Amino acid sequence: MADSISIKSFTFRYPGSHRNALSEVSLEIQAGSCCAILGPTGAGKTTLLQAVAGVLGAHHAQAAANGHIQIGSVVHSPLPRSILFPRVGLFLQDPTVQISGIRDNVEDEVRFTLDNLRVGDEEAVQRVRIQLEELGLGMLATRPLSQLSGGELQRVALAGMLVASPPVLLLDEPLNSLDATAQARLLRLLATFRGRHTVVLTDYGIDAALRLADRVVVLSEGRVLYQGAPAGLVSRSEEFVDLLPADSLVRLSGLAGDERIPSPERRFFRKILGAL
Amino acid sequence: MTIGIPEKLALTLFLVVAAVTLPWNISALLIAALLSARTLIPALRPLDQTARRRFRKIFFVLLCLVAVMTAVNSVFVRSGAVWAEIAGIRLFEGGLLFGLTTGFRLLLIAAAFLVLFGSTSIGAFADYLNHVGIPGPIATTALLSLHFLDHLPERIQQIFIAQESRGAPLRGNLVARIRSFFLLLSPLVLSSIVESIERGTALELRGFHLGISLRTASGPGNRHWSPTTVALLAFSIILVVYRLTLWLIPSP
Repeated sequence: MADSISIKSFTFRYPGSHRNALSEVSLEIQAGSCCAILGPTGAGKTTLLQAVAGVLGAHHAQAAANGHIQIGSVVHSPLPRSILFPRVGLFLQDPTVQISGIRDNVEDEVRFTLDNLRVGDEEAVQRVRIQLEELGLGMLATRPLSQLSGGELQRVALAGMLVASPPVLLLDEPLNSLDATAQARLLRLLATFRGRHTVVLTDYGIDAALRLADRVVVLSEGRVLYQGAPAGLVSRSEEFVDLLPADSLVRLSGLAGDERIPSPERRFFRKILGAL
Repeated sequence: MTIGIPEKLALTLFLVVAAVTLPWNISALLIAALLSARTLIPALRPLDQTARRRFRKIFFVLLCLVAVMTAVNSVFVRSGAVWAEIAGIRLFEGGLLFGLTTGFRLLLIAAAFLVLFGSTSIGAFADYLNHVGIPGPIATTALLSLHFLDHLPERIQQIFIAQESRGAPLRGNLVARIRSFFLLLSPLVLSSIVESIERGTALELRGFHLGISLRTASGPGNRHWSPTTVALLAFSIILVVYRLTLWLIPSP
């Protein structure tokens, strides 16, 4: 069952840093929904996901933090102090890091998670098989990991996380290293998670948010600039000219009737599109 | 005769002991035998093309190193009779012997480990370590280090290209190459630290801290040592005893 996430006035500062990585962040994410966190590099997207997953609490015990993070009915004040897996699954930016490196083929690699959770043999085999089929990896089950492409490796890493059925799934820039085909495939897959997992994903652009998210959050320098439905972001696109990539703004301006972006930027984007 | 991980580990131990205890010409013979075995015995063959290329590259570099080491020692360690005189440079027997002994010792040890790791997957090691009861955290730390070492040449190559594309003088004469070592070292150490932290976090994020298991679906074989393993271990012990005896009982 999916869990809701509630973050109240959460502030976090890394040890030795002079500025807050996150400042007074408050979010409500319903169980089974999908939330997209957008923003430029250094906005605090990864920090927020790591705080919810318990990575920050476990690895930066001396860091200054305020507020609280609630996952389901459990309140962590100010943040979880240990990694919450298998309740929360965090999928890192670089999928190759998430591959354990001590298993030889795809099914063994996915099973590594269940072995850690001490799941029995029969159940583990069954769950791995189902998970591989769901992610379209059934044909690759016995293939050595060294023979997989980047997109396939990412799906194996995702399978390794999903096989534990975490109620909350956090994906840190999952589209980052994928080509257009692999991105479309992953977005279709994530769409099937609705209701089963609460999905929070971060991204630079707006594509994933518009296709998947029930709720969009725009972060900049650790602060929430916008949160609400993706449609609301369309009507306020001019506020995010410096924060979102050009193609996202063009997309938003198109959705908003082409009058939302200030004229110099609009001319610039038209020039680019014309050149293309 | 089946050759599994216990046999390979025993063989590696035997070759290391032999390298340390026996004269250089025996080491040279053992290297030749190991190279032949690597071609003839399927269990000792490289796992893939990458392992094959890596073996050739490292072995060639070490062979060159042995040649340089021997030449330098024979010139500068002036002990024993003059073995030869080339273009007015005298080569001494004592230095030559020292260079050959040290060089072939290094070459045999390196070849033994290269064959062991080139022909065995990390997953198979995981199975074996789990099977013999090595504690999970220790075994996994060792395996992750192996995984890192496995990717080290690739990483060095990436950093090399990155530095060269910034105009760093990495090619050219010996001085440029020595300087390049420092240009490579700093990013290599930094990236290793970052990757270690990320990999550790990634493992925790898959529940590694909850209940460590190295077991794979295939599972290992029985616990008994084969005659080959026993023989190789026995030879290793004999060599150590022989060497200690020579050391403790001075010749008249």
